[in-house]
Order: sequence, then C-alpha cells, then structure tokens
Amino acid sequence: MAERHSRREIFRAGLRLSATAALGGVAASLAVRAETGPTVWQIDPDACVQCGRCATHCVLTPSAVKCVHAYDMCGYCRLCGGYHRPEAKVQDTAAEHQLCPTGAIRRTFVEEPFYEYTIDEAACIGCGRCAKGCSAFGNSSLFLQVRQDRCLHCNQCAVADACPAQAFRRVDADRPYLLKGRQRSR
Amino acid sequence: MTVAATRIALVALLVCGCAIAAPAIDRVPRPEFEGPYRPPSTAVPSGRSSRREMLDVTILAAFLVLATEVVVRRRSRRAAVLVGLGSLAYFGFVREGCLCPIGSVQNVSQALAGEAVLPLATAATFVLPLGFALWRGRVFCGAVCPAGALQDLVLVRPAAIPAWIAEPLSLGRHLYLSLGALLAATGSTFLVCSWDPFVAVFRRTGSLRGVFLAGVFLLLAAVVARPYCRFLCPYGVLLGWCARLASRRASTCPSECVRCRLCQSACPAGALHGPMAPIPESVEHGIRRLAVLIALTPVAVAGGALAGARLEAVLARLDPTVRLAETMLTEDPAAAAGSTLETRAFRSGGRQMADLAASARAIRSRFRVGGALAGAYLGSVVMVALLRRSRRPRRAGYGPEPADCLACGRCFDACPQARAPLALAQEAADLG
Repeated sequence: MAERHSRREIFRAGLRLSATAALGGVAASLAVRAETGPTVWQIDPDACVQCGRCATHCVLTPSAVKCVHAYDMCGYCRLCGGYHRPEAKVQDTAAEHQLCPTGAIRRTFVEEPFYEYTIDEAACIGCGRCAKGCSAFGNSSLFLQVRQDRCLHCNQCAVADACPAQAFRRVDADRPYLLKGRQRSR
Repeated sequence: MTVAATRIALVALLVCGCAIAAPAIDRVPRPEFEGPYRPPSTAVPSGRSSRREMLDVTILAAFLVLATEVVVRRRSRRAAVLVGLGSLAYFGFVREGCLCPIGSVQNVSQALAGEAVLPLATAATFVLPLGFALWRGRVFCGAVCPAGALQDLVLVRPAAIPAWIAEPLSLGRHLYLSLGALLAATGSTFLVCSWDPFVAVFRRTGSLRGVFLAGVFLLLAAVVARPYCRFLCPYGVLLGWCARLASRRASTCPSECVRCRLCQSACPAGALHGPMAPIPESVEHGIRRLAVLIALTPVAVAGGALAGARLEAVLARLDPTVRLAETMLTEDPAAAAGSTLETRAFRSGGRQMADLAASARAIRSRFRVGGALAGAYLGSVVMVALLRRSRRPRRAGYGPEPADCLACGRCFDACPQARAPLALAQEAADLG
C-alpha cells in the first residue's frame, strides 16, 4: 500500500512539474509574441460616424471620449460647420446658434476672415455633434478620440461594443492617439 | 467683393452642396495668416504607463503568497477573511475589478486564436493564480478573488444544496468557459465581462443589466454559498484542474482524521466529503454500467461536436460583423440609407458589401470549428462526470474535495484536532 502511495505521489509530482512548465511556457510564448506593451482603446477617426453613442455608453460620466481639433486641417471659417447650427442666421457666439450642447467650443477672432475654434475639454461630453457637422460641412478637422488620462482601459470597452461602425481599435499604449492632419504620422 | 465675403459665399455654396457625409476632404482651403497667428498643435494627454499594470501583478502575487500563508500554513479563518477583505478593497473597489484573472481567460483564448496579442501583465494575471493552485490549491478563490470575497461577505444563511442539483449545475462553469472562450477567439465580444454580475458593485454604477445582475447575485449569495464560483466561474474550471495536482492544500484536519464527523456540515459549498459509504449495488452491475459509459463516451463527444457545429448559425449572430452582414442582406440594397444605425454607418463608410460578406463567412467558419470543439469538450465533461461516479474515492477520513474546495477556511474551526493543541497548551499553562 505504501509503495503504491509513493508511486502515485511521484506521478502526481511529475504531472505538477510538467503542468507548471507548460503553463509558464504557453504564457511566455504568447506574451513574447507581443512586441509592444499593453494596448489601449482608441477611435479610428476615419471610420467613426459620429453617432453619439460615445457620450452615452462609456462607464464614466462624462465619457472618456472627447472631441479634439486638428488645427492644421481647419479652415478657420466664419460659418463653422462644427460650431454653428445649420439654421443659424447670424454667425456669432450666441448659445442658441451653437451645436455643442455644453458650449465646450470657444470661438475667438484671429484676423479677417479667420476665426479660431478651441475645445474646452472639461466641458466636452463626447457627443460628436460638432464632429458630425464639421465632417458634413467642413474639413472634418473636429473628431472624437479616447482621452487616455480619463479612460479606465476596461478589458471590454462598452463603447467599442456599441459602436455601429466598429471604429474602435486596440492601439499600442505608447502611441495611443490616431490623430488627423499632419500629426497623423505620430 | 471683400476677401471675407468671397469666403462666406464659397463656404455657403459648399454647405449647400455637401449635405451627404463623405470621406474627409479639404473642402475649405488652408488659411494663410497675414498676422503673427499660427495654428497650434493638438494637445494629447499622455497615455498611461505600463508600470501600473506591473504593480498590480506584483500586488496580486503578494496577495497570493499571503493567502497561501494564512490558508495552508497558519490555517486561520479570521486571517483569510481579512486578506479577502483587503483584496476586495484593492482589486475590487480601487481597481474596480478590471483586469481580473477570470476575464484574462478571454484574452488568452483570443491570443491563442491569433486574434489579438497578449500583454505580459495579462499573461501574468492569468498564470499566477493557476501556478499557485498547482502547488497549494485554490488559494486564489479563498482569500484573493474580489468576487469571491464579496460573496463571502454577504453570506448569512447558507442553504445546503443537494448534490443531485449542485453537480449538474456546476456544469454551467464549463458551458460558460467554452462560450466565453469561443466568443473571444472569434473576436466577437467578451461575454464574461459583459455579463459580470459584480462589476456594477465595484464601479458603484452600471448599465441596467449590470445593476440587475448585481442585485440578483448579491441576494442569491446571501443564501447560497459562492453561487458564481460554484456554478458559473470559467476560471474555476482551470483552477480545479490545477488544484487536483497540488500536494499541500487547505485541509480541514491538521493531522490524521479520526472521523468524529464534527466537520460534516462545516462546508457551505458542499465540498467536504467523508469516506465513501458501502456500495449497495453488486460489482457486476457496476462493471456493466462502467462498460456502458465507456462505450457511450465517443458517442457523446462526437454528438457534442456535431451539435456545436450545427449551433454555429445561432452562435455566430453574437458577432457584430455577422449581424451587420445579415441585416444588410435583408435590407433593400438600393436604399440610400440603412434601417439601423449600423447599416447606415456601413453604407456611408464606403466599405464594400463583398468584403463584409467575406468577413462574415470567415467568422462563421471559425464558429463552426470553435462550436464543434466546444461541443466535444462539453460532451467529454459530462461523460467524465458520469465516469467519475464509478470510481471509489481514495479518502480515508473527512476532507475537502480538492477541485471543489474554495479554500475559504470555514471548516478550520470545526475540527477538534485543530483546537486540541491549543487546549493542551492551555491545560499545561494552568497546571504549572
């Protein structure tokens, strides 16, 4: 009886050792295939259709998705497709003429006939109305991006799951932004 | 006309002409500034460093070492509870339950299928509790897993679930594991994350489904010990396999069991068993039954594989690409705008229907293969569970079943031999 026990124990110990080695080996081989470190979620601005789900589906409130502005693509128009409502009769900074529901876009006069539009990130909720307007009537220089200082990096991004255009990608954490304009090469 | 008026007229013309969203083009030419103003660059907040994840892996390893110490070596239920609460506080409420080893099963499945790359921290999160389970049993379940600690916290009146209900129900873990791994491997969705009942508690907020599941599971966990662990946890399947090989585990009795049966009702999870009672049936009957089961095994495995492959049509619809392709096929192809947000987005995006159909076909074939594998796996699991009933367990006394024991430590105080050394020491102190 004692003999059989010790043989059994030796067999189990052998199995344990090989299982440990296999576990470590599989994990190491899978992890070594990764040339880069961890990945984070990001929106591909060319695929995004500015549906508005970024503002509602993120687990954070307000969303980790915010609008960014590619200044080198902007036309600096007086009638801004992303700032003004299409039916706005006067191109001024009045609230009733703005597309943004939280007033997060600031319009400042630069020189005739150019106006600069900057985004106040603290007020932006990531609804994408300005981006939609800009892509419809402008140069599409306003677009949505996941802000990596806010994003929780959930394993399953609720917004990515809900995106109708499947515009979310996992990108390398060292180069987490998919920007437009001349900064695209970043 | 002034420059300003020309620009406004130009823009107005473009506005009227460009009502349909199109790929970004330079509708308005780049401005040339006469004054000192230059366009600024887009500010980008820095991405997070990978140091936070490696810190979490280190903390996980530390908790596992601590859990092994209190559950296997010191055998203290109070210490195990404290370690569990600490883990619940950090991994549960501070890190909000993500990234957890339970979810990492999906990441590993995805990486094995070649769909994604597995980061080092995720690999470590997957491997560490399994490594500890191989050598010291399911210490992760006992004192580290925040979901387990939460369920332990709310348990007030454990109801004993009879084995004939609990054993078939525990097959749910294998079903969840195969479904979760399949959907991750095809790149469809992370099922275990979407349906996690505890993340809404950890985040103190959630979707309607998340909050509803949290409520249901917390109420259930008050009367049933560790319902998620026993009947749903996909990672628990792997931990159970590893724990079977462990040499030292959480044990009820610190020395030789004298079969006093005082610990019989100490385990609320039904993992504590005694020596097997005399078998009422004859040996011939048992051998006949075993032969039938062995003959049925290939049938069950093959049947499971066939069923899994046939279910591909239903399962594949859980993938967003396949869903989109099917919706597009049922819509009128000549319509300018789609009927759902997804089809509208697809039509305006400029992707080709042929590419979408090809992707959907490729995904469906992966579901066929994956479904067959999952079906075969489930068939073999059922057969193994039946076959195991024909085997006499080598148990001399009372003790926890290695694969099922969640190492919570509730049975430690039930064994008089654990208290005896203390009593003897007390007596010795009293005498002199």
